Amino acid sequence: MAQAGSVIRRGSRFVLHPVTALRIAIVGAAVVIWEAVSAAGVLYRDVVPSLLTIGRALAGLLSDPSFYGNLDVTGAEIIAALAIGGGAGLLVGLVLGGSRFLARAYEPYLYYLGPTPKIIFFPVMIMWFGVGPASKIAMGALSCFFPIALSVPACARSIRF
Amino acid sequence: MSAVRSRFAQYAPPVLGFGTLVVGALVLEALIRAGAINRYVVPLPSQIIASFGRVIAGEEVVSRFLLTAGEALAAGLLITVVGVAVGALLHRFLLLRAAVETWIAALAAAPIVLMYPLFLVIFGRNATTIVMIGFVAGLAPVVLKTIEGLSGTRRVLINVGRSFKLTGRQLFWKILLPAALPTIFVGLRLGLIFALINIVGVEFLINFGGLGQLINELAERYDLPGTYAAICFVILVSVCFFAVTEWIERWLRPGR
Repeated sequence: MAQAGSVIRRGSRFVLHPVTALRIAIVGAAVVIWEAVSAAGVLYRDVVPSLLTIGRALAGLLSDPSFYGNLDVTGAEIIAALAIGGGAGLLVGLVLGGSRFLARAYEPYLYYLGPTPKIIFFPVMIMWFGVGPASKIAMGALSCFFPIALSVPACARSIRF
Repeated sequence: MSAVRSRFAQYAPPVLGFGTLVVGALVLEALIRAGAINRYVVPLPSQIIASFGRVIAGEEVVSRFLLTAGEALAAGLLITVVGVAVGALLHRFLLLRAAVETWIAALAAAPIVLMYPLFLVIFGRNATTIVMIGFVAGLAPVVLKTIEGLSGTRRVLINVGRSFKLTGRQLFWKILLPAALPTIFVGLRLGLIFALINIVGVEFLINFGGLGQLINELAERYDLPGTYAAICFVILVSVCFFAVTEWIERWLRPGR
C-alpha cells in the first residue's frame, strides 16, 4: 500500500490516510499504556516516569545549546562509520556473493566472528586511533561491517538467472 | 579423476579459509614480536593459545559456557517463533505492514541494550532479563526477512496453489512458508548475531554470570591473553548455533 500522503481527499472532505490513522492509533495506545504503568506504580517508580516528566526533560535538553554540538558529532561519526564499514561490507559481500568457492571458504568465519561483542575491541581502537572521534568511527565501522557483509552474499545468491 | 576433483572442490574452501586464519595469526605474531604492534594492547596469539589451559581450569568456563549458550538458545527460540509469526501477520495485513515496517527497521538500529535498567526492574536480576534483551535485540531482522521472504514468493507458485483451490492457510503452509525459508534463515542468523552480542554485552554490564562476566573480570585483571581466550569461547557458542541452524535448514529443505 503506497502512501502518497498523510491526508487524502474524499470528495469535498479531507480524511487521514489509513496508514497514518493506524500509526496515530498505535502511538496513542503506547502512550496510554505507558502512563497507566507509570501511574499505577507497578514497577519501581523512577524507572518508568510519567510522560510529563519525560517531556519536561526533553524540552530542557532541546533548549540546551551544547546538545546540538554533541548531536552533530554523533551524527558525523555515524555517517563516517556507515560509509567505511558499510562500504567495506558491501565490497566483501559482493566478492563472496560472486564466488561460491570464496563464500564457502570465508563466509562461515564472518558468521562466527559476527556475534563477538565489539565493545571488547574498544581499548585497542583507542590505542590505535586516539580518544577522539576516530576510535568511535572505527568501532561503528567494525560493528556494521558484519551484518552487511553477511546480507549481501545472501541477496546476491537469491538473484534468479 | 573426477572423484579427485570433487574431493578437491569439497575440501579446498574450508582448507583455504582455515589456512588464511593460520597465516593471519602468524603474521600478527611476527608483527607483535617485531614491535610494530604494542604487545600490551594486542597479546601474542601464542600467549592466547597458552592461556586456554588456565582459563578452562580456573574460571569454571564450562558452566559459564552452558549459561550463555542456554540464554542464547532461549532467546533464539523466542525470536524464531515470535519473529516468524509477526512477519507472517504483517505480510497478511498490508495496512499494518505499511504502518509498522519502517518503525521495526528503525527500532533495529536503536541501542535497546541501554534500556537494561527497565528490563532489570521488570524481570529481576536473573537470566530472564538477559534473554529478554537478547530477544528484543534480535527480533527485528527475523520479522523483516520473513516479510521479505513471503513477499518474494514467485507468482507462478502461488498460481499453482490457486489452481488446486488451496485455502489461504494451506497456501501459506504449503507454498509461501517453504519458499520463504532461505530468506527467513538469513534473518534468523542475523537475529542470532544481534541477540548473542546483546546477551554477552549485558552479562558484561550486570555481572550476572556467564561468559560476558568472565570477559569483564579478565579484562579488569589486565589478563589480556585470558580475555581473548574467553572471547574464543563466545565464538564457540556462535559456532555451535550456526552449525545447528545449518543442520535444521538442511533438514527442512532436503535436496539443496
